[in-house]
Amino acid sequence: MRLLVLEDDATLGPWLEKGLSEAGHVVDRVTSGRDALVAATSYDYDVLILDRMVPELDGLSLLKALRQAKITTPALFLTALGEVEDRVEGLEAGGDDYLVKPFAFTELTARLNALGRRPQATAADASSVLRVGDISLDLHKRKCERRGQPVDLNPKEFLLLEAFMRAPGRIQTKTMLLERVWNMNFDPTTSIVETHVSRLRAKVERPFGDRLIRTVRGAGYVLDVD
Amino acid sequence: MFSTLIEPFHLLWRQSAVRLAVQLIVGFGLVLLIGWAALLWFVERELRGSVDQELQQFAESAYLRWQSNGTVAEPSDDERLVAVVPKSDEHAVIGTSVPRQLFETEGFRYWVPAGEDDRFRVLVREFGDSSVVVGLSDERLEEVREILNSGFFWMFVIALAAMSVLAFAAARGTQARIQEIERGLDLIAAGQYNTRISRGAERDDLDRVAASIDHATIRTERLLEQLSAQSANIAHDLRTPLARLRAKLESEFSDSSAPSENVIEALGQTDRIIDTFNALLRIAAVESGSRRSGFNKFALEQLVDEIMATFAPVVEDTGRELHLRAISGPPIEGDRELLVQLLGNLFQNALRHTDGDIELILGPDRIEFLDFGPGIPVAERHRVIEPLYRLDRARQSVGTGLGLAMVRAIADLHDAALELGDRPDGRSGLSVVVQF
Repeated sequence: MRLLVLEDDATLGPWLEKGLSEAGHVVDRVTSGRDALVAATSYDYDVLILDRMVPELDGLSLLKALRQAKITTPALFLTALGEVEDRVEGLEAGGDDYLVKPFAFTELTARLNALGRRPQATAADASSVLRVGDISLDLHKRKCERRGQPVDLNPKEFLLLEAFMRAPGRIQTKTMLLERVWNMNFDPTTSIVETHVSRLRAKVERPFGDRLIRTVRGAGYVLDVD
Repeated sequence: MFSTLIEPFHLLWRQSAVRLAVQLIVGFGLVLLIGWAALLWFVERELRGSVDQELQQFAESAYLRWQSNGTVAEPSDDERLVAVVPKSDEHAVIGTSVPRQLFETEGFRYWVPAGEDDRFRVLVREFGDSSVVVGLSDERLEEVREILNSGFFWMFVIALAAMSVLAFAAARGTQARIQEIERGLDLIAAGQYNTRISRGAERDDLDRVAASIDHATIRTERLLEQLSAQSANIAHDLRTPLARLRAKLESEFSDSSAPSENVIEALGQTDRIIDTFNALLRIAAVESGSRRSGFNKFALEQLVDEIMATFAPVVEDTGRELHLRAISGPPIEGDRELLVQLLGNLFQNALRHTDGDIELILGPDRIEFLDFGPGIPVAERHRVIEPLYRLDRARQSVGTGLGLAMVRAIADLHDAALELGDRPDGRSGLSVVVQF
């Protein structure tokens, strides 16, 4: 993907640039809000990665200006400002995700991928049945079926599987799952995600004898599609 | 049912402007009544005086006539009476027939003829050779009194009604301004420091109060902005070096095909530092009170499904059971996410430091969390809720020592009391109660 990175820190900036380039992205890095404004309005990017506390024009005001100018490129805030109000502020200014420093690179990658995907055929999003491989989820009736057999899932397991099925092949980090499925914007430290993933696997994989949800050490989980 | 009828009046009575209006109306009413009584008394006295004077003249002219021609003039109507009793023949009553007893005492008095309703004002005078009785019907005075009373009554009613309307209108005006100030203060207390109460003009004391409140709010708002800017800087200055540190270690880790044990260990420890740090910042954020503005009303028992679905599997995976009970109760004001976080911390502690089943009771106005562990010694109970304090026996285990500090901060934010104690059934274990 083509990425615009606004980060003025002398250590983090180059680290981000290097890591993202090595992951296969084309990265333009700028160190001030004004430069970012110029770049974002002159070129097309897939995702904007913005630090908030930067010189000349802070990340939040920059994004507000871009949204005013009808630039709808997905934007991810990468910032030390981590309070609930800061997060709400960022999302209300037009941000699509908000990641607080310090963070793991895998977390950034997972969220980038979630933001940068091309919108799938809207029919799939709008329909009430989600299908990936041989599993289907009826979103209205809250029922799951695999290879024609019903799979009995409780509400949290259903939401968890739905989160995986909406992003097949893309790593979902624990933080992402906690936010989406349990509405938790904090780290509960108990093994909520692990426990529920293992229960989900017991219901969706074991009777069929295969592996659908793969653990990626240090990163998260991913629904493998063939 | 009676109390619901009384309720609106009770509410009205609690408004100072309404009380003032009622006091004024009552006072005005009393003044009117006193004036009325006084005027009536005065008028009556004057009229009485003139009637009595007329009676004197009537008596004299009757006597003169008796003296001159021995007759008593027949009264033309039954509003007057005149009678003479000569001393020579005391059984004779010449003129209007009145009972003899009437002549016995001299002076003014009232007399009601037998079988009639109206009374007479009567004057008995003794002249040398006879006694004269004259009387005038009080009917006239009665009529005057009735007219006056009727007139005053209507004046009283209309004046009082008009006064009530005016007083309440004025009261409403003042009350509306007081309520505006109250509303503004409620908003400010809830954290909306951009609220301004004053309307600009400073005409009276209420306006001046509003203006003073606004000045205080502006100062508070500025102070908070400064604090906010400072804490943003602090967050940035603390988080950025940690982020750099982690980035360097992560580069080292991912760049090499066989990262050294030291690097892996260092990365792990850095993450522990970051976790502790984030937890500390979160506690500080809760303690600052700013999250109060996001409070909602909900009943504690509504958390039951969420908690059951989220934590029961985690508890069961360790081979134990979660006994969850909900008791219905009135809604509380609070932040759902924070309360779930509070419970998460309690679960974390119980799972990490105890072995037995876990009990949780939600509602009606409290959260009760019970485990079967070793409990917390009485002497340490007030210290474990301090940040970073860990019991000796727990010091080697994973954990930040901040879980209970966060529980305390969240309880404080909700104005709830936090109690650590023994199990109520006497068995070994800890009881944590958050009482709203």
